[in-house]
This record gives sequence, structure tokens and C-alpha cells, in this order.
Amino acid sequence: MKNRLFVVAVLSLVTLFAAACGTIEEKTEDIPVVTVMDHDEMTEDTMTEDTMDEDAMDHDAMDEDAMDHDAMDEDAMDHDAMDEDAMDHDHGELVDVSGLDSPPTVSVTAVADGNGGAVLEIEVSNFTLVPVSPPVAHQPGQGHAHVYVDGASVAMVHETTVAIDDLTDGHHNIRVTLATNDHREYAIKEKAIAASTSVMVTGGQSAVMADHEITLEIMGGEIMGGIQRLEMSTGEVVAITVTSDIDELLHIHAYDLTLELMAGMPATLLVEANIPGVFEGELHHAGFQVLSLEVS
Amino acid sequence: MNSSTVLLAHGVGGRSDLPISPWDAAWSGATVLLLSFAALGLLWHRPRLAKAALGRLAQGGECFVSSLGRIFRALILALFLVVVTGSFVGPDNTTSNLTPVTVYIVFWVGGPFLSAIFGPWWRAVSPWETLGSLIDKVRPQNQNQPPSWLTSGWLALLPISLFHWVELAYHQGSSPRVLGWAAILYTATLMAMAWRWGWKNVRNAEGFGVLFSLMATLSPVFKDDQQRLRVRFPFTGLATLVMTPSLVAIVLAVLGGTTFDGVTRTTWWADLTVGESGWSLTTIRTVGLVWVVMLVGLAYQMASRLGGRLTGDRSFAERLGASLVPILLGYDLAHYFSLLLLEGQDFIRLLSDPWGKGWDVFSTANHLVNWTLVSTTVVGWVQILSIVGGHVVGVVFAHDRSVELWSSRTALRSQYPMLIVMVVYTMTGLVLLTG
Repeated sequence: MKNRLFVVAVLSLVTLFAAACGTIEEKTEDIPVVTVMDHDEMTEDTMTEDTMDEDAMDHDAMDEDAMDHDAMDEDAMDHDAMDEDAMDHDHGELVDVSGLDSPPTVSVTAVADGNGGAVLEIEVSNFTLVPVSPPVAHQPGQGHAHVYVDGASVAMVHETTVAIDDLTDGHHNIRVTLATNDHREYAIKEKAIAASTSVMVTGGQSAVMADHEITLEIMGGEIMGGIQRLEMSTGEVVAITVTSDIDELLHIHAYDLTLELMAGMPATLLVEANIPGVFEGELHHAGFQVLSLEVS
Repeated sequence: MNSSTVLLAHGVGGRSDLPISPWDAAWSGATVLLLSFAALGLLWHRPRLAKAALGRLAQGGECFVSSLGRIFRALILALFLVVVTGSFVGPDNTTSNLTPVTVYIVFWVGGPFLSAIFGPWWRAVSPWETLGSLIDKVRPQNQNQPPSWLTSGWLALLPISLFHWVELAYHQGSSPRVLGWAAILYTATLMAMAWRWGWKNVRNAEGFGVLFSLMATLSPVFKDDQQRLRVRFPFTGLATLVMTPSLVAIVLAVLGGTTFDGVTRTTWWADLTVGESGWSLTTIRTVGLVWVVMLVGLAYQMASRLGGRLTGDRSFAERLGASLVPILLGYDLAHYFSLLLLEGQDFIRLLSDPWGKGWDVFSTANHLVNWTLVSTTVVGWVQILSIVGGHVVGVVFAHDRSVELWSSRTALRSQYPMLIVMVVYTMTGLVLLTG
């Protein structure tokens, strides 16, 4: 009996110790910043966006919470493509050009056309853009750009001005990567060479009405106000808007949805509850739970 | 940061079952248990189950089973090699690598269930069994006397505990690479010991084999002393099961681990660990895991000590240990039934491309998980019934064992402490499932 009491005592001490050190701040390892962007352009872009934001608010407060119908349809219907996408993301075929003295760079700006679309200006350096078709063999320093909207691939282009139409009202994340002629992506230290920006689209299709809304704020490696929980019924739609102070990736398990977050820019993910159960939403890089959806 | 750093419940899967309606379930479970105990006390005065455990011969079954065993032995060894290789050459990612789903769902969840249905299948087909007997063939005249720490059976607790730690506490536990190294280390250790002392002696240290064989006593199929195939009523094998202290400890460890897994699914735990990741999360979970296992174990030990005092039997804990086995099966079913049927489907997809090379060997590489295979209602009922059912079966066998040894009155009295523990286990188990 004495032995057992001793074990319990030791355990209690360990527990106390762990509780005391529970807040051992594990410094988040430096998360590589994906955005490659000229400073000037960044400011310009942010400004454009801000003004638009206000515009939207003036016109119709609804627009603010608008989200992207397109992305959702794709998630729901084209699960295959989604899976592949996710895989690409994790271990996609990359062509490492870390060794180059002057590796290729890319930058992108996006301006809403006020008509449900956006115009992208892509700039590259140390890189030659060539048409996707007819297909040609891989040539170092040569290729085309892949354009993603809200994580979904929408275009492969060699032009520097690209118009994207049929977007829904609201925030959209635009990401451009540099691809080889055989569609692998150029990368530095296993990170695809990419540029991202965000655009506030107006005058497009009005977005799906969400039945529920969740707003998450991530700051200093913590989720403000604790884990957000939501009980919902199958068939309902929830709009999850997340703002993070660092680049992150929100991942909803089982639904296998991801939302790319750029530092300081709110992004919205629409989830149509079609699988019953309790699902965790987790920050991919930081590795902790921020969200719990209870679908019944 | 590594892309495989994904926070996952019980090693894999970020989905959990809907909470069942809270206290109703717990109370009804406890009531059923108490009622069944009362009925037993009134009606069950003689041991009845030991006779049933003998079963009857299944004519000609051995031939079929041994040829089946040979085929599966080869298949399982091949799968083992493919999975271990795949954990290194495949993508370093929990959801696109075959290893995590194979280890945590097919092996760890599927293994006990299959044992409870088909008997000691793992002993017949395990890759370690295959490799171990191979070593025995290479070194047939092994004269080394095995040390007592090996023959005592306590060593089997080590792999089981480490497995639980990796699955439930270690933050990198779902990384294919980690699992690959663990498998290699485990295999190498076992084989080195087999080389020194012969596989016959080392077999008892293969924790999974020990655990699965234990679950196999629930099965309606078994082999008798003369290696003849027999069939009997499910669960009756418990009546003749001889538990040792180490076996009781293993069952309690797994029971505690499963309970802790339940704890980590609660909102209380999620709030406790909010924002934690990496090693600080591992620390918290390790402490939690050890605590829960200790509590589950202590509760049982204390009850059996009391029972032992009432009956003057020093090996009370082992004598009634058999009743823990159906409880463990019930817990397993309640916690992992849906995991096996839903997340387990990913095995079908990944098996076609085990090394992430873009293959499609069985044309299932595009298989999507059918999340509606079992409805949430079915899952909820399976959870309640398996927890309550496991405990009722446990109580029945504990009682049968007691009346075998003691007078009906002593037997009943000796059972009170154990009954309290059972009620506590049942209620805890059910409350944990209510989220």
C-alpha cells in the first residue's frame, strides 16, 4: 500500500509540475513565408482592398460576410480533384532551384473589376513564360504560372494579365505558383515559389447564405476566446471566417477541407454539413485545434 | 515544421462520434448492471459456464484452417514488409501514407475484433511469429536458459504501454516515419531475443500477440489441448481462462488507455489543452494517460483486495480478471467501432498505392470514404449496448467463477466491491461517450 501511495504522490507532483509548466511556450518554428512580393505592390494592393471593403460595407452590409460559392461547389462535387490537390500540397512534385544564385520570383496583384471578376497582374523575374500548349519538355527557368483561387486550381497561364470571372462576392485568396513545362512546381527549400494576394470581389453572384457563422481569430499562436464550437444539422452551411496574424492553413478533418490563411487577411471557408459526427478544425502548421463542428 | 504534424484523435482520424444523451445512458447502464447482478445472486448458485466452455468438435476444421493459415501467413508477412517499407518511401503524411491507418485502425482496432470472432488468428499469421519460427529453424538446438524477466510474462506490458504512449500522447504519433522506426525497433528486439533464447520463450514478450490471444478467448472457435478445432458458445471461453497478474495488468493498461482516449475527446480536455502543441502537448497527454491508467488499475486492485479479504483468497484479482476481457471488448467496440468502419475505409484506397508512387494495384486508389456507411443512431446504440453488454458479461462470468469456488453467500459478498467498480467503469465509459 505504501508503494502505491508513493506512486500516487509522485504522479501528483508530476501533474503539478506539468500544470505549472503547462504554458511552456513552444516557440513556433519559423513558418516559411510563401508570399514573394514587392513591397510597393503590397501596399498598393492592400489599399485597393481596403477602399473596396468600405465600399462594400456602404452598399450592403451583407456582402461583408459573403463567401465563395464556386469553391464550395468544387469541394463538394469534385472530391477527387480536391484530394489530389491536397496531396499536391503536401508532397507535390517540386523542382528545387534553391541552388540558383538568382532563382525565379513571382509577384501578383489583383484588382476587382466590379463585375464579379478580378484582373490579375503577374510579374516574374529570372523566368521565361511559355505557352502551356503545345506541351514541351522541361527546360530550367522556363514554364508557366498556375493560378489558384481559394486553394482551387483555376488556370494555367503564360500571360501576365489574367482575368478571372464568375467569382462570388466577398474575399477571395489568389495564389500564383511557377510551374515547369511538365507542371511540376518550382520550389526553394521544398516551398513552392508562389505569390498570394487577396481581393474583394463585388458585383458578382451573391453568395450562398450560410446558416451559421463562426469567426476565429488567431494571434500570437493562440486562439482568441478558446476553441469555437458549433452544433448544426446535416444540410446546413456554416461560414468560417478566420483571421490569423501569421500564414497558416486551417484544416477540417474528414471533410478534408483546407483554407489558406495569409497573415492579417480574413478568409472564409464554407462548409456544407453532409457528414454527421464531431469534426475538428485544426491549424496545420501550429498543430492545435481551434474549432469543433458537431453535425447531427 | 513538418507537414505530418497533424493533431489526430487516437492516432488517426479527426472525426468523433456524436455524443450520446448524457446521464440517461449512464444511469440505464448502471441499472442494467445492478439488475443483472441481483438476478445472478438469486438464480445462479452453481457454476454453469465451465462445461459450456468445452464446446464440441468441429469435424475436419483443422485441415481448412491450417491451409487458410498458411496463405494468410504469407499475405500478412508481405503486407507487413510493404507497410514498413511504405512508412519510409511513402509520403510523410498521415492521410496519404498507408502506415498510420494500417497500424492504428486495421491492426490495433481490427485485431482484437477479429480475435473475438475468429479466435487466435494473430498467433497463426503474425509476421513476428513467422520470423520467430524461422529463427528457431535456423537455430534449432537453442540451450540458453531464458531469464526470469522474460518468462514471467511482464515484458509484454512494455510494447503495449509504449504503443499507447505513441498513439495517444506523443505529438508525432501519426507520423509514418515514427511508426516505421517503431516497427523496425520492435521487430529487431524480438528477433534478437529469439536468437538468444528461442522464439518459444520470446513469444510471451510479443505484447500484441498476448493481448489478441486474450481477446480470442471470447471467440466461438478455439483449439483444444490436442490441437483439435472446437466450437462453443461465444464468451464461454472466459470460464476456463487462467489469468496471471501480468495479463490482468495488460488488460487494465489497455482499458485505461481506451478510457484516456475517451477523455481526450471531451470538450473539457480540449479546453484544457487549447493552443498546446509539440512537446508540451505530449507532456500533458503523458501525464493524463498515466493518471487514467493508474486510476483504472487502482480501482480494480482495490476492489479485488477487498474481495480477497472477504473470501480469504489472495489471488482474487487474477481469479476474476477474466471478467475484464469482455469489458475491454465492449470499450473497444464503443470507442472504435465507427473508426474501423469509416476511417478504416481509407485502407482500401491506400492499399492500391502503398508507397505513394501513383500506382493503382487493386483499382481502388480513388476509393472515397463513405461517411454514411453507418448512421449516427446505429453508432450511438452500438456504443451503449457494447459498454453495458461488456460489463454484464463480465459480471456474469465473475459470478460464475465465484460460485465455483465459494459458497453462494460468500461469493455474492465477495462481489460487492467488484460490482461497485464495474458500475463506476460503466458509468465512466458512458459519460465519456457523451462528449
